[in-house]
Amino acid sequence: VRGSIAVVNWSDGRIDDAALAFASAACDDQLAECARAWGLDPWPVTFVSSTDSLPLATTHVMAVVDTIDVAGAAGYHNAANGVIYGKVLVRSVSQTGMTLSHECVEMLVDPDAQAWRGLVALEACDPVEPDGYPYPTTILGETRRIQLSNYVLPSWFDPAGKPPFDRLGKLSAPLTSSPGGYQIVRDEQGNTSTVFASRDIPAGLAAKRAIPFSRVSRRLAGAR
Amino acid sequence: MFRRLVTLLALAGAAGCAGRAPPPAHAGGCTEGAVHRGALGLLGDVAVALVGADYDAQLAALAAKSGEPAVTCAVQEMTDEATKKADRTSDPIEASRAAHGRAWLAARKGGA
Repeated sequence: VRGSIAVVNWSDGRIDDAALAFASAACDDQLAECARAWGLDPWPVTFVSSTDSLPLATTHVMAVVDTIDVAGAAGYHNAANGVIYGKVLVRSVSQTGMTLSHECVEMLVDPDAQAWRGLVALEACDPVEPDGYPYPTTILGETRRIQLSNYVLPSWFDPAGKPPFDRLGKLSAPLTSSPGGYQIVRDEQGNTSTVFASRDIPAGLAAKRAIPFSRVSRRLAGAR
Repeated sequence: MFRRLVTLLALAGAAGCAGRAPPPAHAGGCTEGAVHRGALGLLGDVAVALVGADYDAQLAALAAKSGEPAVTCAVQEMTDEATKKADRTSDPIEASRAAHGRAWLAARKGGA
């Protein structure tokens, strides 16, 4: 599947455009790397000031917003009427970069957030959600370190898979999660639930176990 | 169309008062002070401007508002990045940005 991601700042000045330009450039590099690891076509990620002139059939808008319409989420991506899009709740520069990275990676791996591998949702960042790494990004000669999200590799979904299972090599077995990570799973009857790696579930996450429309890929606001 | 016409008229007036546009900033100038900050803040606008066939008018409008050196730096950066992305992904939008950016920079270089 070919596509591209256009990151747009719809927040009311709570994060500046330059910060999002750096974060978008870091995510662009990350998606190139992630696409290789997953055997996918790479998608470019570009920061834009407006989406008015972009073809939305192939350009997927990732909007950074002040408020988000999925309770308790820091970000999500979804598809509606064939249009794939995402939203990222603006927080600190570091947190916003992590969420942007999370959603971009998951959009690349499962654009409409509907795919499953066996009984596990094809969410590439949820199992390692709290894990990030700094990535140096240079624009116009200035280098900033952008915090990017860890992500799992195809081997993670294979019960007999061999390591590495994630970008940072933190997980020691398939289908496991980092402390604070989680997985969306379903049973044979198709009932879905969220399995957390730790009993230390952030307050309010129970509400996110049931999303009333399609399964949205989301980064939880309780995560660091 | 009306807004574009107004922009072009405003640019024509500005050019008449200020004489020739300043030469484009060379690569080193893009890392310095106000030009650097200005260019960083323009990257999103330049990314949009370079998609359409009317990129020249859109970039002229940006230059009138923010200064040609900052716009030139932003176009140079966006063109370099779009070229890499287009080579890597075959994305038609990035290919358009790269081609339009190269054409705009070449025209500036030729006219300087």
